[in-house]
Amino acid sequence: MRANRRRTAIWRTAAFRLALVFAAIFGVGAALLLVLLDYSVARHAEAELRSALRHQMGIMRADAQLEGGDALVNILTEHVRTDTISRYRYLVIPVSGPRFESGVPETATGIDGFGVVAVTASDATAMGRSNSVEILVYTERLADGTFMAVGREVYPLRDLRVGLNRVALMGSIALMLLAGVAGLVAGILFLRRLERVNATTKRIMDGNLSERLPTIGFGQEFHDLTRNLNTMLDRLEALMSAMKQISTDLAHDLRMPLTRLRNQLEDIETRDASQARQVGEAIAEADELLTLFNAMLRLARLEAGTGRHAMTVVDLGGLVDRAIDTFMPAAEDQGRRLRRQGDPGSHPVRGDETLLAQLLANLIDNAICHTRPGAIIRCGVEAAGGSVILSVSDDGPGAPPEEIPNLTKRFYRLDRSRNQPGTGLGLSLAAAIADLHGAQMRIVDMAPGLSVSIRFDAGAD
Amino acid sequence: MNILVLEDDRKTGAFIVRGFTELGHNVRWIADGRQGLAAALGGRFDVLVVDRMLPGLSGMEVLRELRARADQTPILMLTALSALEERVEGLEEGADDYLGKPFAFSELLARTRALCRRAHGRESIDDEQITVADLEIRRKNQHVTRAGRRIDLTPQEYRLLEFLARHAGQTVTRTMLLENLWNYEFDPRTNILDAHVSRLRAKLDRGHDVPLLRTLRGVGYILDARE
Repeated sequence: MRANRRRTAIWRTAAFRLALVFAAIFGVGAALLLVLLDYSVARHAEAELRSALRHQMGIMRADAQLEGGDALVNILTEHVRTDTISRYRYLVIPVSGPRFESGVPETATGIDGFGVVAVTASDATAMGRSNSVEILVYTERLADGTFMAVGREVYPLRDLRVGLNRVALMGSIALMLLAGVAGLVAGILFLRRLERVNATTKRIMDGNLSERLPTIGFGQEFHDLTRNLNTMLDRLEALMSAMKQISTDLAHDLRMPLTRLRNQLEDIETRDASQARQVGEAIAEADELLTLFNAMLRLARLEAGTGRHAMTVVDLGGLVDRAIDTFMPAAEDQGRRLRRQGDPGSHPVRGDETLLAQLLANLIDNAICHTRPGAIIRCGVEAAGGSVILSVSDDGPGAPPEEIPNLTKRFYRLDRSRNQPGTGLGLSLAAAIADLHGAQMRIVDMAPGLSVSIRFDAGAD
Repeated sequence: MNILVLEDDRKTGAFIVRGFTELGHNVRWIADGRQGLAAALGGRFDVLVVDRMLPGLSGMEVLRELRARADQTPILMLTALSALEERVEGLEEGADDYLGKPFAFSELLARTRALCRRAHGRESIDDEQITVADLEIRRKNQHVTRAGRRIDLTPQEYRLLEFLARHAGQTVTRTMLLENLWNYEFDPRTNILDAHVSRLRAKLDRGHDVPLLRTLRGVGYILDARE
């Protein structure tokens, strides 16, 4: 149980993983958006540029057709001179006369329609750029042989795309971070609720069957989940209590006829000693059954917690001394040595003396029963901080660690103990009594031997 | 013994009456609490066996009424719920003994006899000295001798002997010993009783022709000087 409660590494928590998944999804989304945006913006901008170039070419064509290629050169010269902010570049080569060249290199003559030409570095420097720039040009050859080219730099488009990409990238990163944080927060909130459910589940597993899971929240599905689980627990608890009830009822109802049987055995008038012995043995068998049934009923009462118990201040030290005195002769007869250990003196706790005496008797009983002659059984009390620990340990065969949680189950017995006498209820009774006192019972395999210790709150209040 | 039985369960009542009658005791059986109280106040009984649950007046109310009227007839309470805390409550209210149902008749018999004897003052708790045949117990200094010879006992052995001696000649059941001497409402798996008794017996009867302490199989023990 303990191991599950250990603090897990952050990257193993569901919250962290949730955040990671959120961030990844948002990241991929942002990247897709970026590519899409870039593509459509680029396309749109290029289409705009092409249409502008076509429009410019249209004007030039009209001028040239109206007044001839030479006149176009003059018009353009005038235009470039007066309109300093024009971003268009031209190259016009009339059939005769001077050509007009403004920013479009001669290499453009090889292009038919749209094309891209690179401008030399010196020219680029003149244009205020440090690197060579590309120019989108549109060329046309008129019927009279005049070559016309109009172009515009591609770099504003490039700049736009680069800027756009930067913004989009930053946005994506910010979005991913935000998604991560949101995922982490949601995860932690969710996990905290889940942790409560988990803790409750553990308590239920530890035997507190009447407890129910808290609502996880976050939506109908989770609500349904907890409700269904709780319904399942209801039915489980009902079944369990029905089972317990059946065994208790059985014990209760069988006691009556069994006692009558025992009384009839007592009434038998025996003719000789051997008959008397047989009857005596039959009575002893009946007594054994009655002892078992009584133990079952006692356990049922203890577990139900319905009895009124006389809680007073009980000295565990004195209780141990008395138990040792009580069990010493019988233990010696069976070849076991009973020793007092721990701190001498009085150790007051709050409890029901009769029940605590029974608890101790059960533990010593258990130790005697599951050891071989020659074993040493140690029984003691010691103070530990604010607690008082009552313990009974032996140097017998102990129990496999994996069996230890089962030892307090009613009628549970290790395979090797099946043939030994006993009810299989001793430790269940002890556990129930400890529980009733709010004390914690711990069974440890000492290899060799078994140690049962019970931690009480110290003191009289 | 003159015994008044207040029990509304027919089976249990008949079983008790038959048991006592067979042994030659006088038994009167009433199934109602109110009538039972009247009978108890009217007649002279050695012991009352009263069920806790009765129609009319409950067993506890009958007990209270009787004690309120200074009637000290010993009362053995019977209950279907033989829980220890009820036993304690019953004893505090003035019941002399308490027995959970179902019970062995031998148990009921031993307990009623013990009550009856006490009521008749044949032994008193305050007695300085208890004598059983050649066994002498001086309670003041817990001095025990048999045929004049001193016997050293542990405190537990002494308490056991004193209890048996106070009920000398009567069967003392295992549960009577466990309840009165160890405050155990159960019989441990380890046979603590026989171990204590055998040690006591060894000290008591060794070297004597007549054993004082006998075991009655399946019932209990008896301390007396029968041949």
